[in-house]
Amino acid sequence: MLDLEYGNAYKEVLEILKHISQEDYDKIPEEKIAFFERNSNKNYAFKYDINKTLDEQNVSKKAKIIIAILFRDYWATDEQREKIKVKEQHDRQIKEQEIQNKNNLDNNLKNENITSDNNKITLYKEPLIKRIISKIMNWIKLKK
Amino acid sequence: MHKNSELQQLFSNYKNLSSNQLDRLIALVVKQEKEKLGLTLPVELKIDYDELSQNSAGGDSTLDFDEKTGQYHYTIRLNANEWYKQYLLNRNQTYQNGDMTFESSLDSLYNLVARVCHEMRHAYQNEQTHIKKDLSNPDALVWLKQELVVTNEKFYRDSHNYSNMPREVDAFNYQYKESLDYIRNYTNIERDNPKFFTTLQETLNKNQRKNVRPLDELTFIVDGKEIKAIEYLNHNMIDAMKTHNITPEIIENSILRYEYNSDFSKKSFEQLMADKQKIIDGLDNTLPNYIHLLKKIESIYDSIINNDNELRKQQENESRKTDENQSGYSIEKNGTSYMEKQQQILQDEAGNEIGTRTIIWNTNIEKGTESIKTVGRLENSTGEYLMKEFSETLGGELQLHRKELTNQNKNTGEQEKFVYQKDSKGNETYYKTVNGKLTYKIIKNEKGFMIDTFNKGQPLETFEYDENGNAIAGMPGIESIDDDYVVHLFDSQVPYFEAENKALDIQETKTIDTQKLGKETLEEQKDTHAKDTVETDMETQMKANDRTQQSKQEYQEQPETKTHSTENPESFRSKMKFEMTPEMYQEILRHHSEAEKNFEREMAENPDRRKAEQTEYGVK
Repeated sequence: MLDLEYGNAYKEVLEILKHISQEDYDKIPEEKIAFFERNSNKNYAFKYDINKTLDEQNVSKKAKIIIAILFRDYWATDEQREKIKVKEQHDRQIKEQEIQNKNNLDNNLKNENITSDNNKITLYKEPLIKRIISKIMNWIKLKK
Repeated sequence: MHKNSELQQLFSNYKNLSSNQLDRLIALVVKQEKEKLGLTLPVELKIDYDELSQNSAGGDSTLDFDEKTGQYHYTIRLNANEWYKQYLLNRNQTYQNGDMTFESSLDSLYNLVARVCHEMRHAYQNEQTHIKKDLSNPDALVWLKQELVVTNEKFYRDSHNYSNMPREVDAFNYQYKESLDYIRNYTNIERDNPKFFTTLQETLNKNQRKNVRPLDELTFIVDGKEIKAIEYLNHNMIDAMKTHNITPEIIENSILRYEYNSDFSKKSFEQLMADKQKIIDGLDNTLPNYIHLLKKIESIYDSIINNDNELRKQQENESRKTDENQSGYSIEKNGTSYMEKQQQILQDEAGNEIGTRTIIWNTNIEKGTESIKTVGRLENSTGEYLMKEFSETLGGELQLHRKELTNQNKNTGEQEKFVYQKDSKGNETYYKTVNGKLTYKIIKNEKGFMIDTFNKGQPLETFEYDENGNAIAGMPGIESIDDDYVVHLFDSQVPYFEAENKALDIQETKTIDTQKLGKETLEEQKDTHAKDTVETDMETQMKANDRTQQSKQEYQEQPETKTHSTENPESFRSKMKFEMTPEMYQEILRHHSEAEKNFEREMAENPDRRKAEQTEYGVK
């Protein structure tokens, strides 16, 4: 299913590329074009109308993302490319931070109490005040 | 290799000539003829109407050398036959000073060659058929051209109408004779293969004895009356004609053959005249089909002729006008360099607009560089084509020449791509892909030709020819290929079109600004995660494609060995590596830690099992 989705997207991209200027077409490496051609879905019929927007023609999300990537890499001005890359870097940093936070949370969960009830494993974390009281009680017991 | 010796080589084994060899022969003979006669294209032909020649529907041609211009001229003499006039009109003739002249792309010469090879094919291969299904090669073209006129031969023969039969229709006699004259005058076949040549001559003699009247039975039509030649010409003249080898065929208004009815009674003069009218009526009915077919084969023929690179270069230089007012032409000058641009519309043989083309010349006088870039798109019944060509010269010497043709084939639904390239050293490369997969590749360098065929990207066979084009391990039936084989192979894929200089409207170029595409994908530009995912997926797919290709190729090369080699453990390891994203890796770690936890729990619940594990695998 995933291959078909990409296959259709590559076909749409190739059709759109037929309508760009030769100068912009030549900026795309031949290997990339060959990759699209090799992996496009030949049975998928798509005709691009330059008088309509991509959304009006229901161009797939994947195809639009690929067009966005091509724009960033080959057609954007230096200024546009710089802005895009700055945003991408920022987004990736946020993503890494999220992953980091999630990993920390996972590690923390290892230290929590685990109770089982009817073959279910549930995490049970005692409130802080209770833990303190319980520690004091243990200490008192030891003293006795 | 000298062209004559190429011909000799071809004829050394004449009994087994293949279609391809005959194709090469035709191409070689035409090319040799051009060089021999110093002809440049187009060759001017002058047509004189000879209203006295009422009997012949065809015409005679002669080749004359004009000392003033240093050029050869063909002269064709025609009669006033109506159908031939119409045929000529449909070939877009132009009139000058009351005489009709037209430019021909070697048509007359080609007809000669066509006749030669037609008869040779009969002689060599005992082939009876004339029609070929595939018209994309010269040999088939030869047959079809002949067939178009030979079809009418039946018309004449059925009515015993030989005298009115056009000479070009007369495959048995006139063409055969002319072919032999051609062979004698322009090739070394008579000298090098006398036995074969004698066989052809004997066949001609036999036909002539059967069909053509001897000189003393010849009759002429003069002032509407039939009279014997011996009454028109005195005996001295006849002797003089014999001495100078003047045969009946060259005499006008002659009734050359035995004319009999089906009951073997001799035809009267009135019957002969009635036959002539029947011919005119019959030909008029078939003329529309004839012209349509003729246009089609002319277009194929023109595309074959256009394989001549020098010719195309000349034509492009001619079309590159310095007149800035020419439609679709522009020039930008910048110091010692300038850029010229010519826009064109492309038309099919019927004059319908099927595409556009733009040619850009960049010239730097100071550096001595010139580049020509051509981009064209056309759509016809067979497909949608994108044609690109680029060439660069330095000091007039070629640095690079590259041609690409992409076609969305309407018949097969496949995407085809053809690429040709030639570098400064003269090395040439040609390859063809179908749906992105390699099917054919040729490399030509100073060592020779290497031809590889593939099936959906998988290597099939390899053929080799040496630097002279002689087979080392040749394709079946092809013992040699000529120097232009590679470029001709590419050019034969290009669809036929005619270009007309014309300014193209911006709308007509049908291009979209990529900045507009950028705006329409603004949301996707902002979605970094989506872009990263797609890029990663594409990278994975690319690597999977490469690995599949590589492993299949390795298997192909070493089918008996394993897919990995132990000689280079490092490469084996690198082959076993697989790429993963950070997310994939984190996911694997998470699964791994869960698996470890589950294992610890099981061991805790089952001490005996733990003991067994420790014994078998060592202490964990």
